[in-house]
Amino acid sequence: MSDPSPPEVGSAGLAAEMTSSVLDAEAERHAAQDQEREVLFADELLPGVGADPMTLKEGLGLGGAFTFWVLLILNSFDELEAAALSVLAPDIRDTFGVSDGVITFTVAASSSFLILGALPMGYLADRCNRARIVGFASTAFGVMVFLSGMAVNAFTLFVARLGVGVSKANTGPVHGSIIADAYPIGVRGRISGATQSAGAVVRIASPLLVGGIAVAAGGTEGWRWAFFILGIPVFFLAFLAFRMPEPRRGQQEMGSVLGTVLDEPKEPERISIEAAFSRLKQIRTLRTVLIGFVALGFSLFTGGVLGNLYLEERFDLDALERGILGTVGGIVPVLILPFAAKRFDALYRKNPARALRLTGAMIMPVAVLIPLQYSMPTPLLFAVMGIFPGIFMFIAFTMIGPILQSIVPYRLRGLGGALGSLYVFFGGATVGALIAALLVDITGPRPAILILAVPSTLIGGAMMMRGSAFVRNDLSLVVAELREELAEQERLNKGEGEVPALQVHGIDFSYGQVQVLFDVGFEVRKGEVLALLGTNGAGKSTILRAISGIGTPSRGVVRLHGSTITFVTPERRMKMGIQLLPGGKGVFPDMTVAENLEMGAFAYRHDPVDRDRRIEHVLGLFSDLADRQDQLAESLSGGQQQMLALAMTLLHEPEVLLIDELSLGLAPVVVQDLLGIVGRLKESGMSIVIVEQSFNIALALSDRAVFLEKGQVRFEGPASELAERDDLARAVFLGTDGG
Amino acid sequence: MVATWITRQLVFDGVVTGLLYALLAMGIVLIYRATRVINFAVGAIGMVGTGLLALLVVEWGVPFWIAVVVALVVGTLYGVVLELVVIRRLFDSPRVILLVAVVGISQLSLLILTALPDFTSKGTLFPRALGGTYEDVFGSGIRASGPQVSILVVVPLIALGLAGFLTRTTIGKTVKASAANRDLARLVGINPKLVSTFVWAIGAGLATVSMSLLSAQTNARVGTLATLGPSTIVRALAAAVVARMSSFPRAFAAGIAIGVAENVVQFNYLDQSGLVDFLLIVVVLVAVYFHSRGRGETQPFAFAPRVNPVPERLRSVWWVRQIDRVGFWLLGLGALILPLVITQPSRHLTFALVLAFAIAGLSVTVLTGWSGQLSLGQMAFAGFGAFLTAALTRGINWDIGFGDTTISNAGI
Repeated sequence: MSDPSPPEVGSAGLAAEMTSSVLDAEAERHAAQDQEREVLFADELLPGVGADPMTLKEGLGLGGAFTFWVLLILNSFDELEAAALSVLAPDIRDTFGVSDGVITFTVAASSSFLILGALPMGYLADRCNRARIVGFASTAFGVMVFLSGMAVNAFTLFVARLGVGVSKANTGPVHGSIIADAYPIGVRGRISGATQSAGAVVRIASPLLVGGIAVAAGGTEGWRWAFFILGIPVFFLAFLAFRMPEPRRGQQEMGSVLGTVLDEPKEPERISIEAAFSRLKQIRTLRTVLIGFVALGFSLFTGGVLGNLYLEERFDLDALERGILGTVGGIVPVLILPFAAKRFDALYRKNPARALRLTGAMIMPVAVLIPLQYSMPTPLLFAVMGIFPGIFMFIAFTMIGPILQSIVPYRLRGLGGALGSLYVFFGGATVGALIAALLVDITGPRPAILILAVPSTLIGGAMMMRGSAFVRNDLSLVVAELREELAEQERLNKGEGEVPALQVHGIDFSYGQVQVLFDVGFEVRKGEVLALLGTNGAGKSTILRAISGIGTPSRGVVRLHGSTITFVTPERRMKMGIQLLPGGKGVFPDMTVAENLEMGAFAYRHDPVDRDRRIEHVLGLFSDLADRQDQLAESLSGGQQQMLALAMTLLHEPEVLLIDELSLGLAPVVVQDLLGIVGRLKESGMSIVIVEQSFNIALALSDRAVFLEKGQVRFEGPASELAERDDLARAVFLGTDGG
Repeated sequence: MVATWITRQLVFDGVVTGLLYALLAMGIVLIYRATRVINFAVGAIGMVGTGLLALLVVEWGVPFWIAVVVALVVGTLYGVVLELVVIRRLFDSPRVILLVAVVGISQLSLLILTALPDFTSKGTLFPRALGGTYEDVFGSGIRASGPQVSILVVVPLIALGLAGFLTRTTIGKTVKASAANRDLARLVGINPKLVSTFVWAIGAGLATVSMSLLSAQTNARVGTLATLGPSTIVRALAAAVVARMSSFPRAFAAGIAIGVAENVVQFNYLDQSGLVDFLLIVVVLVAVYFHSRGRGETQPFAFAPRVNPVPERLRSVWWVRQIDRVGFWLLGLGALILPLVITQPSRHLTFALVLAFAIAGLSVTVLTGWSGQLSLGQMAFAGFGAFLTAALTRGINWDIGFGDTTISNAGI
């Protein structure tokens, strides 16, 4: 393909050649995508792998046991409180004189209100002081528990339960996030094990405890005292929670991978929810494991209710007998759990993928064990057979926390934990309960649980096992990211050169399944003009989207003056000084020039004086626009529209200006005008990245150039050097391979 | 003489009803302009706050004006919740999915309305700000009821306020901006998702006001509120379509015109209950015809959901290739086994109904998947078929509406 086409080739030949070159390019892109940038580090480099074994006590000692105990006891009170409601339900029903249906609904709803709080709590956990979140949320929890006791009718109780549910939602996302940062990776399994064991013990003992209080208080309204007495220690714990030390985010990963903890950034990165989710979605382990969590929720939460229904229907057991059987079935898993948690930690230390695979494998046998359990002829055998699936499910459930803590990047751990809660409690428990309720009415409890549990556990287990195949890759990414950060910090500390105005490093970007950028990186120094050149569809505009924040890269970092902004919203980036002039779409067509500028200055609406000053200023730069303020933007000429678009970006006095296709479709004279303006901006010290189809225009303006092809950087260097590279220049014009 | 078929009173009543259609139509246009969703659930959405208003005043004895504020706030918040929970999840989905979601929203809203606690006396009139009637207003010979006066005062005020807000304030203009160019809006610091939430809130608020006013004006009983939604929304939707889903003044005018025309037609052809709806469809068809001509098909209104192709690697696996057919086989097998497993005749009937609905659903799928169009009237075809079947087997008398002409047969 290096020979230029002979002139006598007819248009048909040319078309055929172009077609084949397009097909070639497409095949090449597919190949690049298939092999992907497999960043795989040796196992010992992965966080938490290959570390020395550590006892739980040693691990707790490193982070201070205070946090652990406060969170453990808080979690136990959560469990106790939840159990209290179901134990006391009949008394509450009698006090308010409502039907069984109303009280069942209230009990069920209060556990699903957890979902409402999960995402906001996770969001806060990634941004604010987490000890304080736990403190405030637990205080609210205490208040709501008190209010539950003071409820005057079913409706006020419902409202109080709503509050309980939302404030309780801090447990999953926030506790998980603190623990992951406070204690070494090697004890995560055991910490979760200890917390869940304590919770389970409390849950089992709760009927006695809560019922005892209610009976001791006496009277029909004795149940209120149970809530009052529960509320008091919660307040005390909330007070203690405020005093927990706030661990540095990601310090365990940094310690394990880099052997040092990076300096805290001056200003924390404000991660946007949108970017966080789009990044979380790209963690393949997470994506597959979440489905496994739904399966866990399905079996774990609906299993209990359906099992009780079955016991009553089949063996005619009363509540007490069912309770005793349930207790027996509940205790054994608690006894086994400490050993299992220790094993998980040990496995993780050697091979994280295996730890996950085994967790998934634990769910699989449940698909066989449950049908067996439900074919047992006596209640006792039923209970005994129920122990095994109980053990497996409980252990797997306990390991959700540690798994999430390990595979979600430390910056997004709060939201990641919230996603976990959503899938387990909404996807699994709530949706599962709805389906179960429908099925029970049609088929009865036994077929219902078989229909639900068998496929869900098989699929869920399989998905978790499949997820284990991606663990090494995802953890390697964490390592790569940390190393990049360390390298950057070292460079800054050494003081090698100034901090670049804009820094793009290792960006991968995909539109759905199609990856368009591969490991793209470049820097723009202050006051420098960088030209981004390349063939059509090389990904030039896409990289600008990633820098301006309209798109979120699947990998890599974007930094502005040294602070990371990869996950910051475009609105915020604009305030930080990044502006993008989108190619050909830089104005609102059905608005007037004045309205366009008003929209452009939207961020300054609270300060009309400042806004008017800015608009005045840009109208001074573009006198052509000043006379046409009442004209609709779509009725302007192409050049005027481009000027308006440029004017809108200049309202913000940006530090970094990204220009996409300045000259597209414009007459040469107009282009000359625009070039003059950009030249003046350059002189004023603005850093500019300019994407251009036209070689000459780009080179006339820029100090340096980056040449992109098929989503990869092929050349980076002084603009004058690029001008000498005929091969690249031809690639732009002919769309052929540039060698 | 003109006055025999049209009177001042008729026009007045028509204008008042038309004002309500106009307000609803503005809500539809607003939401369409900002989020490209045809929100025909707007009436049902408004019924949530309306039902609450009735409940608060009639059942719980809350003072009227406090109840109005509460109902308005709740109605508006309901719009916010709908946007956050449903619309925002589907922000980037094909519009057909959103349209289906709107059907769901409509059903959900009516469900919420019926789930509200029951009234002790269902026959109580819907609460109103102004009671009584005013005879011979300003000597014009027109008779106006209290609720009609409320409408005459409230609707123009709201309409003017909304129009002023959208065209004169910076925040209002962001609605237009974020609809026109989402990326650019984000770049200048406008959050299109926030705008969308905001617009749904306004839409739901408007709907609550309209439906409350309508309930008062038609002297609805608190026990039968649920029946108010659908017929109203058809008229509002027609007004919105006439306004090309984009112009507020036109929507407003069209709403009033439809109100007047409806009243006049109904008065003159009392026995022709379907005539108004027939005329409406004619109006809508004409409007759509000019709409598509005028715009030259610039608006790509692609309905067909994108389906990801099966990856090359998977296509070689036999069960992946057969997966379409496997579904059919399983369904067929299920249909064969079902009667053997389930023995109660009542269940048979249920499952037969399920299958019937599935077939109707299939026809929609065919239409949407192959031609990219969504038919909301598919059950009408099914109903037509059922009607014909009944006519052929049992015999039926059909009064086609022209004098005494009837079509009848005695069955086969």
